[in-house]
Amino acid sequence: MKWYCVFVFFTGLGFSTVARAQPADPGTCLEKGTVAQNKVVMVSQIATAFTLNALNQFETAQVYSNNMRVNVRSQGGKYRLYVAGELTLPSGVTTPIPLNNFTVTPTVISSNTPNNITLSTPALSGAYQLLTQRSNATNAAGDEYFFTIGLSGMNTYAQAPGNYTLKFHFRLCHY
Amino acid sequence: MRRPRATIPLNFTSDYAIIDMKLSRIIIYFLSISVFLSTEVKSQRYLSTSRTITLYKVLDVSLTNTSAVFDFSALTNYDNGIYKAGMITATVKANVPWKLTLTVSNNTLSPQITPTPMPASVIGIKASSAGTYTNVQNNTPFYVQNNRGLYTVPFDLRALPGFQYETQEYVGDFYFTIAEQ
Repeated sequence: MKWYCVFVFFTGLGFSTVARAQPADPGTCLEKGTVAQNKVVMVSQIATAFTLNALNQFETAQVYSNNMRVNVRSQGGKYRLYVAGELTLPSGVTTPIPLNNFTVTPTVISSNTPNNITLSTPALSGAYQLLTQRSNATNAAGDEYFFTIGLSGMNTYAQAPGNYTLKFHFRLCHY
Repeated sequence: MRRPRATIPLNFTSDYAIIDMKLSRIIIYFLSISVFLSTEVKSQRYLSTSRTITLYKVLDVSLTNTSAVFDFSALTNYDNGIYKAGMITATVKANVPWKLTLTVSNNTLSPQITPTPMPASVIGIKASSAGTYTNVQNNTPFYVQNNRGLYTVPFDLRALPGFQYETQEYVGDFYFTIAEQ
């Protein structure tokens, strides 16, 4: 029983360590209210693979429209939603795709007070970048967004062929 | 004599039980922290999602040229040949190490009147940044190569036929082929 507990403890700690591999929080990042009433949730996703298989896809900016549908519920107060990127290279590859080749463009699908929302289109970075900001609390339904992903700057041909993994990190903060 | 022996193990067992209980509490305490941490991760103030970016192999070359003609209209042209710097420019787009090779149809320049062709080797070529011309021919073709990337490569050409060929127009098709190294 003792060893079982120890095993569960370290397993839990291991999971938590992996899951908490997030960029450092933005300067002001408060957490108000309960988790149930203040959360960011992925509602749906369209494509989880972006493929560049023809010359013109390297030459022109690629747009993955409405790629993610995300709900932000923030009944605890006004919020800011941040995004950051993390790229994993294919085995043996040393040149990354610059994170700032990717942009995230939010659009509001539904909100009880959309006029209180300010949108940004940040280029990705390893640090959190402001994506949306709302100047008051949401209702229980929250704000729903589409996120469109842009990819440009691939016409340098500096990156080797292969499968790169781009992880988007979103962070909900009160301010 | 046996009673003390019996007592000692009992005490020991008792102490061990106390220690065991404390350890269990500690474990449960840390387990709770661990569960809390995991729960906080799932608190959904954070959200992560991944995309796979698949890049396929790309190899492309396009050509521009300032001129396509060597016009031998003066004796000095025959004596010295005609040199055209940057006559052809290749734009290479490749995300793998590449090699660009020049070959010529039939290894000759076709005569437009008489049946006797001119060997393609009367034409010399070099990358503008290089010093030495290479005669154009298919057996050991001229090439340039480099690592992945976007490149603009200008070529200088030279025509040096001498006085051996009949007066007429000679035409040749030059093929630049790009391949992965």
